[in-house]
Amino acid sequence: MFARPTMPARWTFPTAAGIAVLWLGCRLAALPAAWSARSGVWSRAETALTKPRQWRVLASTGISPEEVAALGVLRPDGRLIAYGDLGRVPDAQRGYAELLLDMQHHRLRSLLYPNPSDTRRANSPDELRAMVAEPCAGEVVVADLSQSGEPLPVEQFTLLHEERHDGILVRYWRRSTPR
Amino acid sequence: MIAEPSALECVLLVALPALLGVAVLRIAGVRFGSDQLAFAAWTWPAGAFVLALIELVCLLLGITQHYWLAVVAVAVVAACAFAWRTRAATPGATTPAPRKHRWDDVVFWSVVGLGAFATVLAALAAAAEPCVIADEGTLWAMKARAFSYDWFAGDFVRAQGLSTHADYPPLNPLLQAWTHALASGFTLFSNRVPIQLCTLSLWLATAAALRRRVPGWLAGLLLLVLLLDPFWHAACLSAEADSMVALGLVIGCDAWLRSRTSDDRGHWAVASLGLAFALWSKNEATLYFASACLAAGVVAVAARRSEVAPAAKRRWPYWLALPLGVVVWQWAWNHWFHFQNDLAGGNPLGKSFRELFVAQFADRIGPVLAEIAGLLVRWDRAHGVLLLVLLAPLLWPRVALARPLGIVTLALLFGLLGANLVYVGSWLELHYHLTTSHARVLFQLVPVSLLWFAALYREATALPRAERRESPVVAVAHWRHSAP
Repeated sequence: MFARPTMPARWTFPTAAGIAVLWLGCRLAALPAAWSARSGVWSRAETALTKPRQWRVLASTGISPEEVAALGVLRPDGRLIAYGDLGRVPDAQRGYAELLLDMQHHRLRSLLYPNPSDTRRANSPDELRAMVAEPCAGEVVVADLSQSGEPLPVEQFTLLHEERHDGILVRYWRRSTPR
Repeated sequence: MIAEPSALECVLLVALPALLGVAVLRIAGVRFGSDQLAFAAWTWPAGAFVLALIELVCLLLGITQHYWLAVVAVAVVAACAFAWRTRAATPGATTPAPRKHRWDDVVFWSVVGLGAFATVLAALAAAAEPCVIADEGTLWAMKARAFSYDWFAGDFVRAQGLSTHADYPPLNPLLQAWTHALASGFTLFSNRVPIQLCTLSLWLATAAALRRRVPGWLAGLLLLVLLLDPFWHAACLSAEADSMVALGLVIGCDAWLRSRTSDDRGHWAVASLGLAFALWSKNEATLYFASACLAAGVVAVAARRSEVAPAAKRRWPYWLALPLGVVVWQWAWNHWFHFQNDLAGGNPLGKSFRELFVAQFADRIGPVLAEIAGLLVRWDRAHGVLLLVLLAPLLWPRVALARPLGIVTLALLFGLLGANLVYVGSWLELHYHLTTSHARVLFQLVPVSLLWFAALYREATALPRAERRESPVVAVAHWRHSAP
């Protein structure tokens, strides 16, 4: 396998080096553009050094300290359900609404875990009813992103907290009579 | 409870593993004076690996996180005391470093300083956002919380079952769990620090490996290739494990190549540690390790068949015990908890990799080849160095395929091939899988490929002209004869 004919190294190496230098030259020429694209790194570093933790969480996830405090009722044995009635969303906006719901679910889960350790996503009233009906030892809270302004399609839930961030309304409902 | 470590705890977060690393390297026989930059680069991964081992033992013994600081502190004192009593290894017949000029050093250290500054700045900028989004938040940080909470709550298997990659190795999450132990709560920002220190170590380790083999100006240029890639910036910002794999590969390859020229027992130990570090970081490293084993076998068979070389003394590679131990441990861990890799059958389709590979080969091989071809010639990526890996056996076979570099060349080739073939047998939709991971995963091989290129350059320029013209078989034979 080693005895195949070879190209002379005395010119292939300089050729490779030349291509590498040319490549690097192109990259270095584009450095100002790359630097300006990454200039956000300075302002982000400043933000990291000067802004409090809660401010950075709100700016990044849209979840306010008040929401976090309200969700403090949840313990590891509780359940948090991110709910949105996607069937009522117009077709053109359904993809965005589903993405929003999924992101909110993951953000809340990553932020709060393990309080609660059980987080779910319900895309319809039927799914929500089924999830609420499942036994749960602790509190059940629903993060309602349906944007409808109507009460939850399940009974025994009272409004715990309401938050509007960047035009998105999130209402948190707590089961008033924990089982 | 959400919490962040205090200033003192932040110092302990870094200092205790670093002290462990220094002690481990000294016990292993690595001398600070032999290569100060390399020693500095290897310190954090060595300490982090031992720290994760201690945490794992604590988990298995049921020692809660309240006591981890005390346990680690005792381990640091014991390791430092043992290292203090260990006699420094005598200098071996090390390879002479390349000739140094003052301007050469200025160029090299300027680039190293620039890269270190850019890395630290980006790591600091990452703290503007909590670690809750994307893979770093929903996968790695959540696995860390599983070790900090679910393990002790007896809910580990169920919680991991909800994870997309329950089978991933636990080094990254164990390092993040260290910040939970110090903060006495779940961290949102500082849990990135141990991983970002791995990225900084990767920068320093690559710099040390390049400087040892090529002149400073060339080492600086090669480092710029790495620094200017957008994936480097992304690695500094996140707590994902890709840079940890790259770090382990660079350390393993660099130390192994050093050990072949000096027979320094410290370098064998570091090579072993580097490979183990990569293998415990992410599953791709197992593919690269298997590629390296296959490459070593191919080169050994090829060398044995050559009649020019005398029979070499057989030496069992005891240093491979640690990486092999990690592979076995990880397999046993996943087997015990019934965690299955999604590519190996643990996917919604319920089909094995082989079944999917055969069924999808005709449809997928074209798009995968097109993707890798496009990536290798993209001017805004550093992946072009992988093109050299592909071309080297054709352009410079005498140097690229001679031992020990031939093993690295073939390992990279097999690794590159294997990493691409994974996409052919993947259960995920091809475009989605390629878009979300292909370039990122192959970037794991870029730093070690730069090291390989530097070694290739060194071998090519160090050989006498007459020897360069010899058949590669003769070159292989000479390596066999002269290898320690």
